[in-house]
Amino acid sequence: MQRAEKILNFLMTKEALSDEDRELIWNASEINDGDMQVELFKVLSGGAQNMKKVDRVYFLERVGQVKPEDMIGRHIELITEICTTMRGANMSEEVVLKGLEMLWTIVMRSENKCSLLIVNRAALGYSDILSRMSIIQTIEQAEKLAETMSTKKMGYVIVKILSRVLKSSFRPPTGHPEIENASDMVDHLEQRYNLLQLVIEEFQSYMGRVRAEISTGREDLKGDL
Amino acid sequence: MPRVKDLDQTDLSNSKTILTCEIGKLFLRQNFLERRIDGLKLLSDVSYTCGRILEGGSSAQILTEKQIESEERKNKMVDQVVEMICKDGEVLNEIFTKQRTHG
Repeated sequence: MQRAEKILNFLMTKEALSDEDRELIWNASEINDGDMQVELFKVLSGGAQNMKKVDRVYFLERVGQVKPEDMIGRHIELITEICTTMRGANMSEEVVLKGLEMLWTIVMRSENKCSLLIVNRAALGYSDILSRMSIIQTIEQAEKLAETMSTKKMGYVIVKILSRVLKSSFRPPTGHPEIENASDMVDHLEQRYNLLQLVIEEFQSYMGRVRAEISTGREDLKGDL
Repeated sequence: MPRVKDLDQTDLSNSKTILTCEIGKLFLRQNFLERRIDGLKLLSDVSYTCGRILEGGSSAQILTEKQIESEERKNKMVDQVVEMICKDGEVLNEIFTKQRTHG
């Protein structure tokens, strides 16, 4: 399969894949053969930089059709690579927003049967994509994260994403007239959403959940207190 | 059919790539896994060569007329290779269909 990487990259660079070709490739990823599946996802993720928009949209849609319980780390990696490897004129907002929405859904729907590992990977992927977006879009997404935190849903994951985004996306110069660094962004979120209070409440709620788990016999969580 | 001595470096290089692609496809049709792997290697090399040509095409340096003409011939060859690889979906079928890959 690895030998196919150069061929696939070349065909994608030349925009030569037909709908049937893409389907054939995706179907190979669904063959119940662990090695072949892993190798294929490696090839697809590695070749993402050569994908044209049509390839990106196709593979995003196919990953979107995977059942939450069947989701593996390679799916998340593919979504992230598809959204973070576009450059210059090839940049497609549609692709980026679609990828973000998919990862957001995985992160936010705790009832979606995805494992914790997948949720954490999706959170990392989400912040990786955000770090490649324009400052205006990143501010919008950071506001969305703060707003979601006020709903008390998946707060600990939101804190993780938000802290990564603040570290990676607001290095000066940001090019924004008012938000020139991470500190300005924290001030903005604090003023608008009372961020510090939300984080403290989430922390208290998290500690409450840990205590409850310990009282049911989860001695291994004592270190978290 | 042009004589070999009349061909320049670009023609020779293009012919070599096309011939390698044809041999790769031929090997890929064989019933022996090892031969098919050889075919895949050859096609992989051809794809790499073509990929390098495409990367070189974006160079900002000023080219002479002769160089431009040579680049055009290389690009034509690249298009021919794409056509050969994509024809009837044969190559991708060989790679991405389980019974052939593991045959």
